[in-house]
Amino acid sequence: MKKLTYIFFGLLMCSISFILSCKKSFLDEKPATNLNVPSSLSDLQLLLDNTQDINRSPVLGELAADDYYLSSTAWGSLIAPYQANSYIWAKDIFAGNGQVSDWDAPYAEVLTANVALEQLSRIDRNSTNGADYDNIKGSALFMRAFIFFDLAQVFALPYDKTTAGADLGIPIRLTADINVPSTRATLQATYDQIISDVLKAKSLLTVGYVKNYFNRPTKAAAYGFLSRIYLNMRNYEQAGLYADSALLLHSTLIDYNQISKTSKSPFPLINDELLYNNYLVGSTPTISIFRSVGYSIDTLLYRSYSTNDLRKAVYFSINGTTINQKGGYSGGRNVSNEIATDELYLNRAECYARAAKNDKALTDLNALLSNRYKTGTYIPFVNLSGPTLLNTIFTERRKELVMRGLRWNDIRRLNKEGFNITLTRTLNGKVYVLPPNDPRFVLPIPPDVIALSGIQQNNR
Amino acid sequence: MKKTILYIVLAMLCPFFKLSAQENFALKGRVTDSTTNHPLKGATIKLQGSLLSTVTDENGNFSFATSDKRGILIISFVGYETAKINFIDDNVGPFNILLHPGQSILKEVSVVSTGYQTVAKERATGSFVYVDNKLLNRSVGTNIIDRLDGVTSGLIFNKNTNGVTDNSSAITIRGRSTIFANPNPLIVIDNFPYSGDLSSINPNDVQSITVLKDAAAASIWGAFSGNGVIVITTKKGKFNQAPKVEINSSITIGNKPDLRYAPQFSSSNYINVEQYLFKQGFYDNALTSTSFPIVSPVVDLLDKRRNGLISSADSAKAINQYKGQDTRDDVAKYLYRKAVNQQYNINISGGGNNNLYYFSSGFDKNLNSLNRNDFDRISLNGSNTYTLLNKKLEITTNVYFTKNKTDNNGLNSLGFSYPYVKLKNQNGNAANVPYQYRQGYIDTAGNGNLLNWNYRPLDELALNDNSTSLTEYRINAAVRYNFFKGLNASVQYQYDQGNSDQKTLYDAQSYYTRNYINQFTQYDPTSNTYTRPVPTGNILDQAYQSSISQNIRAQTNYDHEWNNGNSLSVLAGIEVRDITTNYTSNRIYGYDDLGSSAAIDYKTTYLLMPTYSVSNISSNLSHLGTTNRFVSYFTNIAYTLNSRYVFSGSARKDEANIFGVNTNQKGIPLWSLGASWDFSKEKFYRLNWLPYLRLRVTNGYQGNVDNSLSSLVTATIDPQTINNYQQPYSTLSNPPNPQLRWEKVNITNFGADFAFSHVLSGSLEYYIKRGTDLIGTSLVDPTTGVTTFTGNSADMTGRGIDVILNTVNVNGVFKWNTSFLLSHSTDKVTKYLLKPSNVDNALSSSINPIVGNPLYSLYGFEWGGLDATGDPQIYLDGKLSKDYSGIYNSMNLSNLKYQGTANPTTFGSVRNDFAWKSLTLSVNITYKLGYYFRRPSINYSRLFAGNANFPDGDFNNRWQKAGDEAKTNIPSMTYPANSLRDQVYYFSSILIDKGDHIRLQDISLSYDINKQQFTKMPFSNVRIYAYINNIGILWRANKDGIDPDYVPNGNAIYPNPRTFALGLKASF
Repeated sequence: MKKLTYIFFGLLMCSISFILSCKKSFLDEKPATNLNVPSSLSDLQLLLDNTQDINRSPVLGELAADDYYLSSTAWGSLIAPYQANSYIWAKDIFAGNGQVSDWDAPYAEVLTANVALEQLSRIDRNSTNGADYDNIKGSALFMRAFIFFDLAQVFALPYDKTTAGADLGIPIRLTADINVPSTRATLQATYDQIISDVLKAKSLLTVGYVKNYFNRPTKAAAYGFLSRIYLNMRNYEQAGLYADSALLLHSTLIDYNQISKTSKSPFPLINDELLYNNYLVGSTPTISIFRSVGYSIDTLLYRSYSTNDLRKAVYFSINGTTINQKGGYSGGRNVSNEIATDELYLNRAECYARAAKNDKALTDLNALLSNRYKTGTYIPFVNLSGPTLLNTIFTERRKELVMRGLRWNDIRRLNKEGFNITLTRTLNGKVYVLPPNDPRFVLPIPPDVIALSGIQQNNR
Repeated sequence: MKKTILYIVLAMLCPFFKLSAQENFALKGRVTDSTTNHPLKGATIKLQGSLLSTVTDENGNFSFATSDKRGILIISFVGYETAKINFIDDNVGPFNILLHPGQSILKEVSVVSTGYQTVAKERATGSFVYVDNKLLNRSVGTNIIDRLDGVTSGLIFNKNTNGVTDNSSAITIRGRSTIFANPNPLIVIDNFPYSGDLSSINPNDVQSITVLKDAAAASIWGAFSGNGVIVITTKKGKFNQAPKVEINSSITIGNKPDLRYAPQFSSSNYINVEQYLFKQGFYDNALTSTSFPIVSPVVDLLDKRRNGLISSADSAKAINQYKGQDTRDDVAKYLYRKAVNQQYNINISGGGNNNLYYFSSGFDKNLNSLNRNDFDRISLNGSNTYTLLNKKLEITTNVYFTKNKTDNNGLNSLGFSYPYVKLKNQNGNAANVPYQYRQGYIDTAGNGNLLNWNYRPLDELALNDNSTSLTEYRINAAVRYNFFKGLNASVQYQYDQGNSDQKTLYDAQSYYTRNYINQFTQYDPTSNTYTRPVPTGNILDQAYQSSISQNIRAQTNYDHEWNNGNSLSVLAGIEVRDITTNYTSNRIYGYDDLGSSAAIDYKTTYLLMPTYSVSNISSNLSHLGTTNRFVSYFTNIAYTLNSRYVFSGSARKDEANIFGVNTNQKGIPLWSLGASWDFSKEKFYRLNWLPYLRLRVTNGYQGNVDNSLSSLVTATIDPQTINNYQQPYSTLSNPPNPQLRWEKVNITNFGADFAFSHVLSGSLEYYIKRGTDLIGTSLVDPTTGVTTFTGNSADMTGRGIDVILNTVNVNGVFKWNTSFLLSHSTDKVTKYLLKPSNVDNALSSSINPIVGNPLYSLYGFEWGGLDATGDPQIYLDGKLSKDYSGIYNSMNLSNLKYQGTANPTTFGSVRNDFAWKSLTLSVNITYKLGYYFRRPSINYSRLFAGNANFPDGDFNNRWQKAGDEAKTNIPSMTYPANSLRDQVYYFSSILIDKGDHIRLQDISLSYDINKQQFTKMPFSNVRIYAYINNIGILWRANKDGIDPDYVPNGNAIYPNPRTFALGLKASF
């Protein structure tokens, strides 16, 4: 009798411990077959290839920069009030309206990258999947850093190593868990995160360079991006070195003599100078500015191209009294801030010039420009040095990288060095001025973000 | 060990296998009425602290086998006060037990079941409603749950949800407690949650139902209990009972539905409108369209007349004939019939010293009122319990099998409808009815190379072959071991499989098949040939769904009763549940009974006739599997002090595969605490007029889950789309939400059970519900990567009272008892983070709650009367307005007047039971109060589009000339119709009516004959019963004759027709 009691009790205990021991895997079962949980490497690649939702950076900086101007009528007819307000550097640009794609879309990309990174941590890396695994991890790190960097150019102060430890950066979200509250990191922490991510990405990315799929980062793109970051941080030594590393992997320049002067979209999506493609968000409303009738490229800038400079005809078309940009550097008519070899030549040239390596600087500058002039008409720069050389490089930089999402960054950076670039707008007879180093060089954070997250607003 | 297994196997295999008794002895006794000394037959003898029970025989004698050396027997009988006797050692009786009559009304012993244990209601602190077998069998019907309607306190059947309709539930217990998650109460059958189809349950197998309404009652079900729990207990045998056979048979006849209930335009009014529209050129587009949409016969005539194809006399004559026709005559005649439901059931139950058995077989055959809609059900049930080893080991097996078939061939929609459709023509053949394409087109299209394209509803009715077969097996086995008196442990396992097989056979001659083939027929103009990518022949759609649910539970119980009236009852256990479903569907073209089918090219895209849209031939292939898994831990403790004070507590923790690590690890358990105080047992209690008073209070949490959400990250991929670089890609559809968790409902319940002398008894309960962490949509910080999110973000509260009063009005040879039920319940959304963006949003049928109002609220635009041109006017931002677009899209929610809730806030019933000798009569009157509905009126744009289901009277009373605005609120007919004007009128406050009504629900009549009266009768007891259901509304607040349970709105909807049932129940 007693024996039976023990047996029964034993059976009971056995069944309970059995239940508990296999609980973990028991509760890991997917609740529905059509629930697509991205869990394999190819699933994650599919997520990162979504160019509809990712490869999107804020456009507000470009809107506030000086490569273009708007007629009073064109300005008055802007649909989104924050675009009009951004154009005149108003203190508050959103007038209480939230759902600003300049903030929401880049952070959606951050979420995708974080999802990819978190799902990756659940996949075992082994010898067979190692290369793919590393490349996806590198891609996600690169993409997240790229977005953080572009957000920092719009919503945080220009980098200054003396104050960066105290300056406010942007929210650095490293988790896909939406329950984790957002906080603003310091500017130093922001850049530290960006650089550490790209450095990791640089070693993880398996492709050096390939002329295809510019939505996917490569090693060359990571070097190029590092050059862009350090240039903005005014660490010219590193900026030059990384530009050099990138150009070692890929240095082709397009001879503009081969480019159509009549095409409305002169550069194809896949072209020789590209390393990584990224669009500025809100392309649709942005197009309505950049392609609208009352929009024009800055007249002085347009006039600065010499007659033999092919860029004048390749980049622009005359539409009555206005000068329009024809197409983006990554094809189509979207505004993009791609990493390309022309930018890297200019980065390296500037860094050489600053290091007084004048010959090397001139070699780079001439290499670029010789591909921009009608065959046989280019007269190389020689014997330049010091501020003259630097200013020449800046002039050519501006002429080369028109509407490439970089002008705003350059103004912020160079004003830190006393270049005194003052922006002015004239609308309906009224003149608006943005003096150098004005707090309005930082855009305000959308009000719904402030309300829902409680993070600190920028002081404009 | 081996022997034990052998016993289990044998027990499962041999239902009649009897085991010899070991060390058992029988307690014997006789139960009689203390006043008359008559023996009481059927009194229940129960051993305290165990589930064992027996009943007395015709002479009031019982014999109760037990191995316990000492204990307490509880003797109870309906209408008598419960008695207890102690037995020890050699004192085994026979006991002479006198039961005192009349007192039962004070303490009717009902043993409620939670699915984990049974508790005497007098010891329960929580809120239980016990529906006994007698009350369940008061009504007649196929579905067991329907029998709770009108007799269960706090439970309401939501027959009509007018307004917001998303995620509504058929039954609500104590008001709504969720927004988007599962709104249905948990159904438990014999200890395990039931996820199958309720139509599979044979009502004759059900002994009783317990409804668990508050946290103390339901929180043992943890995360499944948020909407209350309905526990169904099936019949079992009784120890030492000779085989008892019961047969029950009934036939129910139902009237045809009242087709004239739903509003419909008279044919003459409708034709007048058609003529008016024709003159305005309304139909010109349709008449000239190259996709050949249908027009009604009258419009066709008018067109022919205009084109001179028919004389004016002929057209006038034909139109006059149409004016005299009414679709409803033919629909009633050919599509409906009297419903006939037959139900047969036989069961055998009994038990020996060491075993119990119950077997039953049931058969149902229902012919629905819609012609060719039928339902058949056959069910088999066998349950056995064996006790072994001197009753230390108890083995129970239960096998349940049911197969039902639903034929769904009836026609309840005629497609394109106008009020003068004829279904048969003069010579008695099925008539053509316009459907999809114009007659002129289908007569000539394809130059004779197409299949006949006519639509004849009556032919379709005959050809329809749609059925769903459902087969369900439910097998459970339980082993219980009694370690010593009071302590036992059990392991229970249940396997439940339901297979549903849905078949839709489109006959080669059916319109569907002919139309499908014709649409795909390809014409090649160069060779002037027609080809058919879809082969002629039958088309068969099949869908299979299988659902397998497995439960295993290990549980220990400890019960101890001290002699000083203190007792302790503890249970604890663990339970694992796995429910998997699989669904697949497919289609076969050219199907015939021999199994042949045709090869089809599913890849090619074809141009369809006559619309020239493009489509592939449908393969109807789909498959989906779901897996829901749960691991739960539970415990329940009750301590009774001095037989007066009861303290109870329960706790449960659930883990599930829909949740992420955080919730499953943290898992705040759902718990409850309760206490009750039998005030009248106190020594100082002296109130003779109130001999019984017990107070109860409980508080605790119940949970709920939304299965559609996942804490996992999900992505969607559309194989059709590629990115700029020609790569496929996927889109993040749901960010991970590791903190997704159960919805929680906190319920506080205060209760008082009382009895005033022998005449009036009852209970009063007040409860407050607070739902927190409810699933809702909210705006989130866009920095997270998403801007809106569905998660645990909403709160709701509810409160209400449940009153039960039972009175004994006359108690003699003639008996008259009344049961009065009253429930009041309100709910309010107290937190919802996403505001409706405009008034249209708040008026839609989807859930967009406004904080501060009930979830299912009715809002209306404030009516400002008609203006001098017959246009409706509305107060917009405080001013009269006719800016219908501005009104409808207003972002100012204060332009909506809250009119009230769409669900009854007060409801209940008054049931009078009369008995004279063996004749009993029961009349139930139900009422629903405190709610609103939208009355149907005219919607001109829908009327013009061919919908005639609007009130004819409203059309006659519409604004027609200046000055009418003083007499009527029905807008004028304008051309063209303005759909926004119609919408604004429909949603105006003038069309909101009170739903309050009182209904004579049903009458039940029965007559009992027993062997004492007719000794020659082969049966020991025979009952003949009759039942009339859906008798009619006695009073309603609205003046339009609308049954607020069935509110039409441009659709044909009918109240449930009256049914008459006659039945016979016999036992021997």
